[in-house]
Amino acid sequence: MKRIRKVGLTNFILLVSSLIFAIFLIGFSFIKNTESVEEIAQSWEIKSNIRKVSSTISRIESYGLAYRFTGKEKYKQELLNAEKEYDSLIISLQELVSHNALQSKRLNDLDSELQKNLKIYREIIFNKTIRDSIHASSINESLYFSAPLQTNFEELLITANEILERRIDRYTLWKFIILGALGFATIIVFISLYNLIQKIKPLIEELLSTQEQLQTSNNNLKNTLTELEKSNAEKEREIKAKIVAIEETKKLNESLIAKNQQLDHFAYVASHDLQEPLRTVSNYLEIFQEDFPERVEGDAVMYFDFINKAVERMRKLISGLLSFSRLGTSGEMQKINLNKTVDKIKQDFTVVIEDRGITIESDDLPKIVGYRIEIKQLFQNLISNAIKFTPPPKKPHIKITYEETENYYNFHIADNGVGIPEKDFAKIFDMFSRLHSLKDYEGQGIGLAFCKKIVELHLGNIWVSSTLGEGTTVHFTLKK
Amino acid sequence: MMKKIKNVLLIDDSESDNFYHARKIRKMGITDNIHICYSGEEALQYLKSELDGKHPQPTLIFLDINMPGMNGWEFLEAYEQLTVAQQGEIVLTMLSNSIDERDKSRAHEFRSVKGYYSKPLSESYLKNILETHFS
Repeated sequence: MKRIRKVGLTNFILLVSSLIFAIFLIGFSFIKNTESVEEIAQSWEIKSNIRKVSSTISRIESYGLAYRFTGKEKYKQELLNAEKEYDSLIISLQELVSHNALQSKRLNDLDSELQKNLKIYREIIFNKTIRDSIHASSINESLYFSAPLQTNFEELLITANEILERRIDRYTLWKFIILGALGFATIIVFISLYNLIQKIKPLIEELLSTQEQLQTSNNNLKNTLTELEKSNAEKEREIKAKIVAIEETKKLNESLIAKNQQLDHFAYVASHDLQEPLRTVSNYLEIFQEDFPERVEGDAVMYFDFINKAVERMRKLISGLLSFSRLGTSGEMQKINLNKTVDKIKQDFTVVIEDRGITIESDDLPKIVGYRIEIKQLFQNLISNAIKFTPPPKKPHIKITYEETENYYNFHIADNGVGIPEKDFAKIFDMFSRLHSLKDYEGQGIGLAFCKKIVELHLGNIWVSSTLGEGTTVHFTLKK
Repeated sequence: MMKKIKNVLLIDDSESDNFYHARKIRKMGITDNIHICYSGEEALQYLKSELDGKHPQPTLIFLDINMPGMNGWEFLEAYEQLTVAQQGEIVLTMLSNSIDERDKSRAHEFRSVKGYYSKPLSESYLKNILETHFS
């Protein structure tokens, strides 16, 4: 826009000033031309008046002569008329040439010469005496007075003609100036227009190309918009689908939580109620053995031993199940210093640690938020497992490490124990799942199930990696 | 030799438990007088009853929580409404199948509950009770 305005302004100024100049020149020339025309007309009038004066003088002379020789009054009258005519003519001629001193002088000279001659002439003509007495030759000389005046007239005419010619020349000059100015103005206009066009042309081309580009980019935008709309619609559908999925997941989660609660409740009620008859069995086994010691002998001792062991094991299983169902109900989440937790476990295990020469290496563990009792149980179960499954004479070496991600703490508890076959990696976390016979390793198969539940309670994950015969690492994550 | 206490009341719907508990108490020689009620209502009736113008006023009461009809909690509420003459002399001790901490803390909210033990009643429990309240 700026460029357009600049170019337009320069051209406009140039154009307008040129035109004003040309118009001014034309106007001036026209005035001059008109003046010349008037002057030419004046010159012509002067010329014709000079001729008229000349002819009037001739007439005066002719009528005078006619009157002298005929004596007729008619000629005398004509003579007087001619004289009057001459007077008026000479006055107007004098006015006409008043601007030219030379011509005025000549005319005055001519007039005074004529008046002088005319005076003598009149006397000769109107005085009868003189008319007859004067010497004929001198009379004749005085009678034909117009002849010498012709030279004066010719001089006047020559000068008048010269003036006329000059004026005609000037007139022609101004005419050419007008034409030249017109031509000049036309050229200026054309040049300005040409320049204007030359300068506007690239702008117009630019504008046109810009317009094209705009058109193209407009089309592109339209396409993009359409695509965007499409992808928007798709996204919306996806979002809706996701919302639906989220809601479904939420519902599923809720129902899962409800189911889990029901399951916990069921486990609680079942284990609680199972304890009672079991207790009765163990109570009356005791009473039987007390009341009838004589009957408990030989093989019966072994049978009772088996029954007692079975009852005891069942009691432990049920109590384990009961504890399992109670996980996460012991209190509120709180800040836990895991270093202290591990220290406490080491204290609890002092005897076995000294007996077996166990080394427990541990990173500087973080402070986490969780259920205190459950978290201690988690570490305790894993450490005791590591000890349990590293049979003597091997000295258990346990390493506790961790690293931090944005949302989780990842812990690793590694031992140098018997290891776990890969096919059992998942199975070990099941309730009451055992990989070894009771003869080799005691236990109810609930330790790792506890761990799994505790980790899940803290929104984490637990898994295991192991090389058979070399050791096992239990990995678990706890949400920050 | 332990000092004998006057009388003990067992409130439990389980006949086998009552038999076992009574046997334990008798065997330890704590008392010669054990009364057994099989429900909360029956126990209340017993406590209100009079013999020669006197209420039974058991020295020690063992109460089970899980009972059909009036359970242990309901009994406790009714028990605390009784006149002092009708109530037990000294201690009311809960016996339960439950190892639930919430039940334990709920039991201690009752003024008259002096102990909470899970079944079965054992010699060490009894010793503990006698040492705490009767020596």
